[in-house]
Amino acid sequence: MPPLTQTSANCGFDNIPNEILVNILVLVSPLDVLQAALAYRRIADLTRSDWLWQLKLVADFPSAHPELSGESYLSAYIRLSSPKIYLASDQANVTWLDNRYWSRIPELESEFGQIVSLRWVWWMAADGEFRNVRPGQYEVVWRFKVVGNARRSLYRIRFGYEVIDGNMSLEEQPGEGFWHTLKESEWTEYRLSQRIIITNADAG
Amino acid sequence: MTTKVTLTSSDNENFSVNKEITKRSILIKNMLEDVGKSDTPIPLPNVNSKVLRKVIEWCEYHCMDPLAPTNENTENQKQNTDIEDWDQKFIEVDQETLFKIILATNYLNIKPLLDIGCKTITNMIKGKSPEEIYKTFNIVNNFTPKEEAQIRKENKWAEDQ
Repeated sequence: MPPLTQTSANCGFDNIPNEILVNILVLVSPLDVLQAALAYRRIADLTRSDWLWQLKLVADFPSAHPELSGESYLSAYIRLSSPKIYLASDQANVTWLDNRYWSRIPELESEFGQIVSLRWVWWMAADGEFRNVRPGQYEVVWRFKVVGNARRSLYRIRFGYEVIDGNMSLEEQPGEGFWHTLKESEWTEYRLSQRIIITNADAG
Repeated sequence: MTTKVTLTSSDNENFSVNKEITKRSILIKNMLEDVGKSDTPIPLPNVNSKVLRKVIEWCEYHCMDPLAPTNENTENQKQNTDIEDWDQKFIEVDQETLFKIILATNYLNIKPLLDIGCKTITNMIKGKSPEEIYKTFNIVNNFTPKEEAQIRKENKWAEDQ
């Protein structure tokens, strides 16, 4: 008679409960999770449960709360772990980031958990430089919100990018007129009409 | 004189251990609190003597560590898979023992040692192909090509990272 179960006699994983398997998977990259899923059926099953992605999300993106918007943990994890570069959090090259004009503040609504806040201003310029940008297509988005008693309009926005050594640049004046009225306490997004395409030759 | 507690392994070997050291195990700590003063040996039917000896060795070495790690520590443990030198040497055991230590520490509730075991497995998975993983862990790979394609399809996003 053939044996009833096909499990090998000494595969340590077979005795390990899912709680521990999940703890192990939390510590590896998504690609490693995929490789492990292709090697072991129970791990493949775990990749289909939101439980694993909830724990990975907590470990890798502790300030994300997809449950607030009804997004699944897996889709939030995919969204947040896709290659993305951003200015607001820790690489912003903002003039006067010294708590007098600009300061860094925690912001739960931001997927990065913090933003830079400008206290008061007559005119402003903020820019940043990203190094080691990986090849791919990038959308350029400027996101901001006006709070408090500020005048909720902006005059003459200019917004653009330049790929250093890649000979690409684009500058746009979003919107029709020069005056932009903003809604209070709501995020406004300006998105450039074209995506930047970084090729292998530009990367680095 | 320090109080001793007797632990009995699944293969009926008795270990006389300093009471404070046994409290590294939250399971035993809670048991001792429930029972109060008692000389009765504590049976650990899920842990054999070889593994129990290892676990006691770890608890003795780490007896001075704070019992409840601060939040900062737990965060660090989550973020990286580095293992301290002594622990690294300690956990260099055959795979069967490694998995038994993981199961024992899960049962005994010794989280820092469980974490070391999990990190060790993690480091054995990282950067490996499926073939290398199933060879490393002696897994019987029985996916049909169709199932394999399905798993790849579902997790395609992870390859684009």
